[in-house]
Amino acid sequence: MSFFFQLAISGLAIGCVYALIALGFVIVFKSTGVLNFAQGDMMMVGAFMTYTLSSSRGWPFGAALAATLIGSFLFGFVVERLVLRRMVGQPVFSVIIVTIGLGWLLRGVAGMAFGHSEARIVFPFSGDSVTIGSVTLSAENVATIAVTAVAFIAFFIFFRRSRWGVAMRATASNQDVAQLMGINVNRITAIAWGLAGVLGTLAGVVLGMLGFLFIHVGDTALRAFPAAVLGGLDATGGAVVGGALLGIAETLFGGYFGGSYRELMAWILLIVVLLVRPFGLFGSKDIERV
Amino acid sequence: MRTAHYKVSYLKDAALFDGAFTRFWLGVLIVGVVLVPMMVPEFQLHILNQALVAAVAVIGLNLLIGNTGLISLGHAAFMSIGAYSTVLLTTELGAPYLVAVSGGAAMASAFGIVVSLPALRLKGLYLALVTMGFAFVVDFAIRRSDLLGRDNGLAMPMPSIAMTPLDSTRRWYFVLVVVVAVVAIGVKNLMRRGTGRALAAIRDRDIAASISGVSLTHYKMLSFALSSALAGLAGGLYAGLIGFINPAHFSLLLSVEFIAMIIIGGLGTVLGSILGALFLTFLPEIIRSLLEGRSAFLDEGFDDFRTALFGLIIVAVLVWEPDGFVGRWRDTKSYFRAWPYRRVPE
Amino acid sequence: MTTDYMYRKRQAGQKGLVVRDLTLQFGGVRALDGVSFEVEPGELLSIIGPNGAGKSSVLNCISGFYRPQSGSVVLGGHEITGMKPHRIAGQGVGRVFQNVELFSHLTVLENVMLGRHHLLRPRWFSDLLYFAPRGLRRELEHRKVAEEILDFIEIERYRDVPVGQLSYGVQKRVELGRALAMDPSVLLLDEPVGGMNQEETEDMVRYILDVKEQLGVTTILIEHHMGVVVDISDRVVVVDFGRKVAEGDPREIANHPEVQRVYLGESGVTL
Repeated sequence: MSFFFQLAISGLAIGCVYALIALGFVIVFKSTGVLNFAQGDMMMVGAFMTYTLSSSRGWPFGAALAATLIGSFLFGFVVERLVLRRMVGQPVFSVIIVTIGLGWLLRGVAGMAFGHSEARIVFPFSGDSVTIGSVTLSAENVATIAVTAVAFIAFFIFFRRSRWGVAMRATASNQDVAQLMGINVNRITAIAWGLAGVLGTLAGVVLGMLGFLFIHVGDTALRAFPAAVLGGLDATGGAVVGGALLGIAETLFGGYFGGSYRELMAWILLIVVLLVRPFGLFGSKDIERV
Repeated sequence: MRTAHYKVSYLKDAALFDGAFTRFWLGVLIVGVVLVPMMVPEFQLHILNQALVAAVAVIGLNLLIGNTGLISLGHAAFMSIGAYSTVLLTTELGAPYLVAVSGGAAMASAFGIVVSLPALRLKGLYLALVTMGFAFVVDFAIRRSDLLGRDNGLAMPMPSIAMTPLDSTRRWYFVLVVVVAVVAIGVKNLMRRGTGRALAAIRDRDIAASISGVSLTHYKMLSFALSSALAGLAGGLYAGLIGFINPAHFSLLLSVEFIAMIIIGGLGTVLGSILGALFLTFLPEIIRSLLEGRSAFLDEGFDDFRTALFGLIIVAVLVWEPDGFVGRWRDTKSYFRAWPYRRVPE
Repeated sequence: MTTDYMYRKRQAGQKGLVVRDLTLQFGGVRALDGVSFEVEPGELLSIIGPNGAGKSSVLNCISGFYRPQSGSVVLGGHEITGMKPHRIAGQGVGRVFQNVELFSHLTVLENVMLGRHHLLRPRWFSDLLYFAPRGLRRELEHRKVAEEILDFIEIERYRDVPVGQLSYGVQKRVELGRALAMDPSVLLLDEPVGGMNQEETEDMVRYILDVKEQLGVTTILIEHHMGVVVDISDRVVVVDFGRKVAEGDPREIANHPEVQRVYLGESGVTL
């Protein structure tokens, strides 16, 4: 039994990473209808920035993290202004290819700047652990779950209560009308990308603490797509549910059937969800009228 | 300014190569194509061959995305199925190359029909995601299969057509040029007739297409069947050309490259597919030859630099030239046709 | 105006349409509530009513785009309820949409040729080869018919223009052309003159009347333009909140108190 719980907890930690990445997908998709394939690479860059600042440059962890968060918000903002905005009016999958191209650009530059060895991010509680009953939680696991919970609650409140959040939901629902209501759609889109950058960094740092950070981790991040789809591509809360479920399912599957089948889980889940209920657990259906 | 261009009958209107003007340039093209192997060094010719194989796959993908409006991120998986089928038919059943390649195309087509089933209910991005999932599952299955060589892949024996072994780059070139020409003309014909119109209608307004009498089920399945058959054909050709295949050759990266080729060449056009395939296949080589030995820093991080540059070029072309080469060519033609006016007079 | 197309069509038979107890529900909203009416072969029936009354929903049920929860649609004696839209099209039901639903990247000619689809029955293998004689001959035959239709609605000069570039009025005509290309026994016209000026409206009405009188096509017309409705309809059905509230001769309907209430409210202004 404790084996099950142990697996479930580490699955939850992985699930939290998926959830953070998935939330990044959802925010951009919700505001613009675009799937940001560069989310994983944005995550990687944010993580490496934090790692470099804290390990190589000796900054205190908190300062490194804060600086990177601000930097990644600006980065997302700038990317939207410079590149994505010029793609307005293009078919959606053209924009997706652009995001893929951006991802490659990030990956290449990061490879040249940061090198190809694995990196582990050290934070003030590294190495500590907490034991509840028969289950041991490492400090990293606790931090992961805590960060994810805080992030989700923050975003939930943001979307429900704050002016910008409501404006973002309006833009996602109907861009033209949102503009007519005085919402600056351009700025909303830029903010959405900025937030995606922030989420990417959070996901990446957490991943780095758990010990899975390397230059090509963006590919692994693609596995968060099934989590986002499961939760519903336009449902903020759905991303955390989807991520958690995927993480736990993957880890249990891998634990009981053998590690190499873990990856398969994500894709089987994706196909099944798309066949059975494409808009996910909490997403909204598309309605067509003639 | 171009003067009036009269079509004297419906038949003439329908012709692909109408008029002396077009026929002349077609002749020039044919002569050029024949002369290429004599003027181009062996190494570049081999790359050209790879570009031609890619062109076959890309024409197929264009049929799906550009002409029918169905987005697929799994094209490389169909190519992989075609390649592996071709190899197995040759090594396990001793099939002659032409038969093996046809078998590969047929196998890929069958899988295409299976994948088309979700396509009947899913649209746009959701369809893209399902095809991506399919691609990963195929990759996973191949890497776990002993028959398919796991991560190491399989070797392909030297293919022969009509008793002639395809052992030189030049022979491959002529075979591939013929294949590309046949495929290109076939698809162009298809698009100018009822089937192609039906596919385009589905792309533009599928509800209206249905109410006008087009069976969405039939044509979506047909589009997947044909495009994956072409991908499978490309796979079989690739196996023969390169001599060995492994799962890394057919990754998601390749599927994305195919899409980039279509967009850069010009979405929805056969010519665009070919141009895009040529451009993106040659691009890494151009980059490499320009930069080789220029700087130690670049040599060391070369793969990274190439990845970054590739990404940058894709972004740049899509942002500034969204209609691709063909679009730019059309704009240029209109400009010169209207000259010295700014616009074509009504 | 008798073109070859007109003469050809006159040979075919006429079909009537019977709609019985049509009920359509979306979640909690009842778009149609037991709507019944009949259209005689060759008749032009207009459906009028305020926006949101369910008029387009009726056409959508007939076309097969919506599946009614209950009720039936019978075309010329054959039940077509619940059939797939492309099969219903094959039975000869042509449609003009309220918002233009043309294939914007295709030319006018290609759009009209798509109306011929269920008659042309293209085979992909034959299309690949292009010059396969039988396929080519059929393509050219249907091309000829399409050209006749273009002549009839006077849009030949736009034949090679992608429809996305044309003005709204011309687009509506192309839609009519596409519907006519299907050799329809029933034409469903959803606000065909919506948004047109006087001249365009007159042209459109002329085409509709020609089609009705010379080809004998059974027509169902949804329109807000009361002048058109009264002038060309054989009978009128009034719909409100998904229910039929009146039916009869156009002039009677126009002066019917219930109709006036539905359109103009309780203020009592007469048409």
